[in-house]
Amino acid sequence: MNDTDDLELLFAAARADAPRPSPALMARVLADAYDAQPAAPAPVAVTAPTPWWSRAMAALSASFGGGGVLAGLGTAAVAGVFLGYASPNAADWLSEALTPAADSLLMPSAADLFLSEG
Amino acid sequence: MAFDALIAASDDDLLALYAQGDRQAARLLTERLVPRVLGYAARLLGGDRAEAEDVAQEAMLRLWKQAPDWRPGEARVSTWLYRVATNLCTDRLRSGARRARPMGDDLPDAADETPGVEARMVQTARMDALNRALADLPERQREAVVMRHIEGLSNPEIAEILGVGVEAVESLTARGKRALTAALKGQRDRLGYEES
Repeated sequence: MNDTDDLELLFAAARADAPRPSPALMARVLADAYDAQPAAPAPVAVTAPTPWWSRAMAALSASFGGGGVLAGLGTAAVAGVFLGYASPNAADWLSEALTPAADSLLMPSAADLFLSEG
Repeated sequence: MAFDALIAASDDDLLALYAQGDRQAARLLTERLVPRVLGYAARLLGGDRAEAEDVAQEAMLRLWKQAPDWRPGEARVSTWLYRVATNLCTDRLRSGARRARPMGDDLPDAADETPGVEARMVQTARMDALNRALADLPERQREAVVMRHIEGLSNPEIAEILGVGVEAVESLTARGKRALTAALKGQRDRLGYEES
């Protein structure tokens, strides 16, 4: 054995004598870590992208004053188209429902008027 | 990330997870790196455990603060940490403000089983002798020898840490070993090495 071997043995002894950190040191280092740690980012809600037609409808609706107004306008437009294209007979049911029959009008006859005046 | 996956993760990945708020990553990095930086600092500081603990804590604190700006792939985490620890030890050794401590009194506990009293005394004498001899080396030689022969780092790693070329590292370690051999010459009996 020579001096070089002795040195290698010393190095090996030093490696075997490796320090073991005390629990107190580990706790201090970990406390530093938590203190310096950036906060975890808040979770971001994932939503499906809005289709173009939905965005266009929303913009149109807003320009007319909201969804309710637009719905009313749409209904009126549909009704107008129906009345314009439907045959008159097809709309009889509507006129009958809204106006009383001619013979049901209670107009007094001329004789009744004459008699009532004595 | 599952704990098993974390254990297998690289230091780089753990540091990135730490920067994202992962507390388990902080714990794993602490368990991996503190023993290494503590052992290195203890050798550079002549076995002064209290000083070495201060250096280890400060080096780790700098790592935590660096984490958000860490650029993966540029440097190894351990290499960066050794460089910081080297500089911290150098500052302390140059400041001369270290507490006077007898060599070997506060060497860390051995990682292996507690030997018998006589074996422990021999081990303490060997570590005292090595620490004294290391302390007498020029700064760069001491750092290179400790990293190469005690910490087990490769020459390219040491070159990166010290900011020199690989050939310079080879020269530093060779000269350091020659100086250590000369310093320890004639201490075979005292260190418990029997003549063959």
